[in-house]
Amino acid sequence: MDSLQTRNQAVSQDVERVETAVARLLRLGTAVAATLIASGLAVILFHLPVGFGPQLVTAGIIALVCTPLLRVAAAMVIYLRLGDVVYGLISLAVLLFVFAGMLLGDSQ
Amino acid sequence: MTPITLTLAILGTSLVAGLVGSMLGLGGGIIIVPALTLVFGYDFRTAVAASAVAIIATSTGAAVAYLRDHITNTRIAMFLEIGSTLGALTGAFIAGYVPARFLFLLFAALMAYSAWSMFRARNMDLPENVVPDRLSRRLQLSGSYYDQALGRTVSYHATGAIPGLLLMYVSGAFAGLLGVGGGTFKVPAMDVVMKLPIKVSSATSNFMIGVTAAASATIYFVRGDVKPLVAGPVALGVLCGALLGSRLMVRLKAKTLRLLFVPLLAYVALQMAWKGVTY
Repeated sequence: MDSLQTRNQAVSQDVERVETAVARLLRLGTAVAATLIASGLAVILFHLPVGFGPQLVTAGIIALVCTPLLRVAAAMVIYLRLGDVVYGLISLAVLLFVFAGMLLGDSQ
Repeated sequence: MTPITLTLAILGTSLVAGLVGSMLGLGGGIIIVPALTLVFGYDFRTAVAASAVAIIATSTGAAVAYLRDHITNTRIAMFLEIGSTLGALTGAFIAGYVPARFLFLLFAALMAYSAWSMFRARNMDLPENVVPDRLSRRLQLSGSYYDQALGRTVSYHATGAIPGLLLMYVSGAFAGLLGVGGGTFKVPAMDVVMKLPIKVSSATSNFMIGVTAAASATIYFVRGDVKPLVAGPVALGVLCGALLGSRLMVRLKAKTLRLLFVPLLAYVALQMAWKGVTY
């Protein structure tokens, strides 16, 4: 019973670490994307004398699109570093399916 | 409409989409696509591309709060993402070989069944007497969170890991084939089949939809369908809405969430049935 409790505590600590890292990454991605998009829109709409408004918005959208993929990659690295091979491989499989989907969709 | 008024109108609409989408675990596309095409007059491709960006914004914006509150279960999300991403891949492969009318009608029937199942469970706050199956135990598909509406910590276990995974595969395949079925299918699958608390189902679905949408958004991006002046305000509005929605959802009772979900499922079922009949 003690060993089971210890194991459960270790698992929840690992989950906590993964979730904290993923939450940080998502917060950063959201902040970067929102700042870039808002700045770009301000440049375009208020005709500010800066020539790269649309590029700023596009960069913000790219940052937003990359964030969920980065969080899967980050989770994979953390799981593997924590020795959780099963979830490390699950994350890897998800990433591979997503990239295969992108390639297939692009070719179609 | 001046460009500033138009941008503000899109921002406002997207804020509502993000609010609803983040509370119910959907992407918000259900609001974004009709609004952009019917109200703002954009073409379907631009609207669908903006909707993919909106789904990512909802997922990312709300996930921070749900992770902090431990409502999202990252293990369940990661496990089920195998099904949804593989399903999306299969959907893209077999698109064109499967009759769309049949798919629309099948999807409508599944949505109607999900609406009925959720309606029957409308008075249930939390699933009771859930016995985890072997795979759920092996993968530690369990967790706990503090429920603000109930004022106590809720511990839960998932069950039906394989049926849940298969349903995620079907959900991904529908998304790949028809461009629908993101959260609307995932939430009832987790709620009805895996017996997870509705808040966990909603937050976990919300977390998952961003990954599959990222793949579609990249493709739309490469094709040039993502228009900065449309997708930009949509993303910004949805992000703000999702931040608000994620704070609101934790205060809602499970019963209220179900009651919000049932008419939405019924609406999607009718919409899909209509598409199937008139295809």
